[in-house]
Amino acid sequence: MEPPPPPPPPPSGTTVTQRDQWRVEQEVGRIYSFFAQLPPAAQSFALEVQRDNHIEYLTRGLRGLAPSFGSLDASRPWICYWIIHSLALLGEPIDAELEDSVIDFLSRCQDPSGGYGGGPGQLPHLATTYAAVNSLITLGGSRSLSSINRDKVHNFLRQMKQPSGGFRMHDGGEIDVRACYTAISVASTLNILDDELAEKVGDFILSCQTYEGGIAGEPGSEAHGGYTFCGLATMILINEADRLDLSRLIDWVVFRQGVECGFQGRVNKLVDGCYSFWQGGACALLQKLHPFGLSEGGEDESTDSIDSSLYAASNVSEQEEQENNLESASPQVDGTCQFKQGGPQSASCSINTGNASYNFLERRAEGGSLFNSSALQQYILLCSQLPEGGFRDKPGKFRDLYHTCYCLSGLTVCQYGRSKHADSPPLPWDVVGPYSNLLEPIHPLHNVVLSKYQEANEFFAG
Amino acid sequence: MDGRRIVKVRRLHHRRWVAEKLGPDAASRELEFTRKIFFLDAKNYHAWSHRQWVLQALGGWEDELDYCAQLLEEDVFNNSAWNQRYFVITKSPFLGGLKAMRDSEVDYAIEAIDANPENESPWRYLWLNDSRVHSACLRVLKAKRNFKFALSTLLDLLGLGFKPNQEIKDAITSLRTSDSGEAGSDSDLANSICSILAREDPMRANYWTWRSSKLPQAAEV
Repeated sequence: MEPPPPPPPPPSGTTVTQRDQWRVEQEVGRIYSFFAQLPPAAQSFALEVQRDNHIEYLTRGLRGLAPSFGSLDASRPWICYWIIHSLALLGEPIDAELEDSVIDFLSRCQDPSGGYGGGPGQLPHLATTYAAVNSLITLGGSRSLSSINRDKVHNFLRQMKQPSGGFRMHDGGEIDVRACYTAISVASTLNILDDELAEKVGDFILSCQTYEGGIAGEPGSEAHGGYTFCGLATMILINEADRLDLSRLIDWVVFRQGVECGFQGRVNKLVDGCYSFWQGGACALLQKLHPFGLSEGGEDESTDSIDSSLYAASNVSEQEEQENNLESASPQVDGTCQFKQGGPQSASCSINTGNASYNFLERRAEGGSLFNSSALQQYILLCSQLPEGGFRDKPGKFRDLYHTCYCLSGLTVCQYGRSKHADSPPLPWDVVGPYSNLLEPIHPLHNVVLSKYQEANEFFAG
Repeated sequence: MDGRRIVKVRRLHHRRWVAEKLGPDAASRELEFTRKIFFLDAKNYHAWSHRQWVLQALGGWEDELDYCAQLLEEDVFNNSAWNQRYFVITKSPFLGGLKAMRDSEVDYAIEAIDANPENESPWRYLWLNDSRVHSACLRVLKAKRNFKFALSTLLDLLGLGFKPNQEIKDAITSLRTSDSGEAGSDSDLANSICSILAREDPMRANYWTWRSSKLPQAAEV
C-alpha cells in the first residue's frame, strides 16, 4: 500500500487555531477516506474493538505497576483505576494474584486518618481517593470492599469540605469542580453522603457555569468538558441539577462534537478521544434528566449510514473555503431520528440524597441520542484505537492508559446511549462495528461498571 | 512544545501561596509569568485560572482588557481570551461592569462575527438581545455561507420572544430548499430554522429535531 501523498500546507493568513484545526482535519480525513475505499471485510475488521491486544496492553500495565514501591509517583491509584476499569469494560477478569496485590497496594495508600494518597505514606487526596475507591469497587468481592475504611473516608471528606460549599483537593490544595465531584461521587458510592457534605456544593457549581453554557473548574474560568461532566454529575447526585441552566448547557455540549466526529473539550480547541466520555457522558446524563418534561413520542429508528458518509469523506478533496471543513463528511443521521423526552413522573427529585445515584439508574432515557453516537464511535474506533492495543487522544499522539480508559468509557456510553435502561442490551444498529464490540454498561454518574456498582451498593447499604 | 507540561497545577498552587505572602507587589511578576506561558500556549487552562486568581487577589486590572484585545488580534479564535474578556468586563473595578460595557462589547463581538461567521467564540459571547445582533445574523444569512450559528442564535432569540422583521424571515425562507421536504405545509419560522439546521448541520440532526419538538405551539409566523 503506497503511503498517502503529503498534505498540502495550511492556507495562508490563518491563525494558530485555524492551522492546528486544519492539520487535524487533514489527518482524520485521510483516515476516513482510506477506510471508505476498503473492501467490506477490511472495513469490518477496522471497526472491531481489538480486545486481545487491549487486554494485553492493560495487563502489562498492571503487572508493571503493582510491585513498584520505590517511585514517588502520585498517580498510581489513577493508573490502577484506568487499567482495572478498562479491563472490566472489556469483560476481562483479573488474575486473582494480581487482584490481591492491587488490593494490598491500595490499602497501603490509605491514610490512617482517612482517604487515599498517591502512594504509601503520601498525604490523602480527593482525586486518588476517587480512583482508589472506584478501583476497589470494580475489583469487587468482600476482601476488596471491606478494605475501605468508610468512617475514615467520611472524616477526610469532611475535612476537605470548605465553608463556600466546595471541596479542597487536599490539605492546602485547590478548590474546584473536580474536587466536588470526586468527593460527592465517593460519598455516594460508599453510602456516606449526608447533608453536611452536600451543603452549598450546588451553589459553588452553579457559580462555575459560564456565559457559554458549559461548566468551568473555578468561577470565572473557561467552560470545559471535564469540569462540565464533573459539575453536572455532582448536581445530579445532590438532586440539584434543575438549578443549572440546562438548555444552555445542552446547547454548549452538543456543539462540542465536530466534523472529525469526536468531541473537543472547549470551543475552538482540538478533538480529543478522552472527551468521548466527558462530553459524551454529559450528554448521556442530560438525556436522562428530561429537563423539559415533554410527553413520550413514537418509535425511534435510526439508520445511521456509515458507508455513505465515509464515501462522502473520500470525495473531500480541494475546497474553496480556507478552512477545508469536513462537514459534508459527517455521517448522515436519519432525519426521522427523534429525541424523545420522558414523562413528568421521573422529574420528582427525592430529597434523600443517599438514593439519588441509585434512583438515577431507574430513569428511562427515551428515544435518540442527544449527540451523534455512531459518529463518535467511528472516531473512537478508527482514529483513537490502535490495532496493536490501547487508545490515544488523536492521530499523531501516542497511546496511554488514561485515553484507553476514557475512550472505552465513551464507547460504552455510545453503545448504551439509547437503551431504555442503564443495562438493557442495545439494538444491533446502535453498536458500530460487529455486535461483539459491545462493552459492559456503566453507572453513568460514577463511571464504574454497573454490575460492580450494584454489588457495592448492596455491600455498603447496611 | 506542549504547554501542559510546563504548567503543573501543584506548582501553580504553590505560587499562589507564595504570592499571597508577598502581596500586591507580586502581581506584575505573576502576570508576566502567565504571559510567558501564553506565548507558547495561549489557551493553557491552569495558567488562565492562575492569572484570574492573581487579578482578583493582587490586582493589576488596568491593562487586562488591552491584553485580551492583543491576544484576539493574534488569534480571534482563542476562546480562552474571549472568556478572559468576559471576566474582565464583569470583574474589573475600573470598567463599571456589564451594563457600562455592553455597547462596546456587542460591537466588538459583531465585528469578529462579520470577519469570521464560522467562529463560535463571539457568538457565545453575545448573550444579549440587541438589534445589532439581529442585523449581524441577517448579514450572515444573506451571504449563505457559515450560517449555522446565525440560525442557531435566531432560534434562541425566537425563544426569548424576538419578533423578526420581514427581511430576516425572507432570508430564512430563501435557505429552505424545495426538495428537502421542509417547505410546504410548515410555515412556522422556528420550525423552518430547525429543518434547515438538521440539513446543514447533520452532526446535530438529533438535537435540532429535539429543539423543534420542544418549540412552543404559538410560534411567530
